[in-house]
Amino acid sequence: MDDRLVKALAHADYRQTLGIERQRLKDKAHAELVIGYCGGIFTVDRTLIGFVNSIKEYGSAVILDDNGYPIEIENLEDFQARVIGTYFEVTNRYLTDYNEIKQKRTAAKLVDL
Amino acid sequence: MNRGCCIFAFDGDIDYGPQAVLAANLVKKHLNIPVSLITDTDTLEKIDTTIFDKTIITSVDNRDNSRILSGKNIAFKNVNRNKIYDLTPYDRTLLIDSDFLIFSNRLKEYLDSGYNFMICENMKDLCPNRSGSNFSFSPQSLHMLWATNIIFNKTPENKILFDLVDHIRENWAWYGTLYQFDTRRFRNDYAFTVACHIMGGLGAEKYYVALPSPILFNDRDSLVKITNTGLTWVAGDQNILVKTKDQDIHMMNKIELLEKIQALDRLYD
Repeated sequence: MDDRLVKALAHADYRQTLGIERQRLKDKAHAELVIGYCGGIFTVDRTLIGFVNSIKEYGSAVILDDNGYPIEIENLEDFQARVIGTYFEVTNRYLTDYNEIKQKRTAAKLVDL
Repeated sequence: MNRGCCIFAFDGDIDYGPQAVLAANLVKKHLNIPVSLITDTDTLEKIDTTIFDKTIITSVDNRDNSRILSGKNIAFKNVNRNKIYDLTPYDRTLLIDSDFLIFSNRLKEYLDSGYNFMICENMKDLCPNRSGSNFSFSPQSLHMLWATNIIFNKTPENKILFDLVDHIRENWAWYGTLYQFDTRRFRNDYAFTVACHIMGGLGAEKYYVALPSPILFNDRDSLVKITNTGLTWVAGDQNILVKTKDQDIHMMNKIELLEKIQALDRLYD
């Protein structure tokens, strides 16, 4: 096979595996950003963090969860701590994993072969 | 409210007992909840049951329910799944298939929620251009739910749902025509999908809340490396390399799962 084609196919394999790894890490982070709290299911994102920050002074509130059901949050301060704690923990881990795969320059290394 | 996990295992052409032991160990490691095995005496005799908090013996339903897996015709003994409602010792039950491998604590968040019935709505397929996990009976019919993992409370409403699954199974051809699915073999996924549709007011609302999507590997995918830092797979006809780590997996290639079970067993030590 033409050497140019061999190199191109090797690079294509690498880009494909890298793309799958990136998508997998993204899916994993999104899954880890989901928390159960006071009976509801909440996806932690920037919108939720901003919203909770803006209503924290009320002490308690009813917040709609991911499924649109009203969940009574009796302690907004505790909820805020859980939300922000989860966000930092997950995104920091995501960054570490993301940087790790950026260092790997072959398809085999990306999947630990 | 007591809660725990139940796993069905009835050996047939494939040994489900060892798979159930592996699945139970992973549940204990990552979710830290009690696990019960629902099985028959033949299967029970062949496995070490110390990991299980309870073993519940029930009669196996031998109705033929075979399908092709990895080129072989394999008989499945899985038509009594709806009996879980009466068999489970828990008020809140996580029901998983024995080929559902838990490598994260994600389901704990859902166990902690207050929802009465949760079922898997989607699975992730890491291979590009493969859509086997996102499946509808037909363009005009329902999106298939996955009965691979279900969380439910013992409530009168859920009792109706599980009885309905039994009714659907008994009238399989009729429901197949109505909902336009393939009736050649019984699938719990189909029966639970139809039951949820009916229980939700025939589509007026969702009866269920969706569980997180695990990663799906089918019978064309091979597990080639197993370490504490992750699992490496060669997937599909194009031999695409994939790695998984700290993510729940539905490994449909049961023959491969059995071949690799000793190496996988080391992951929960």
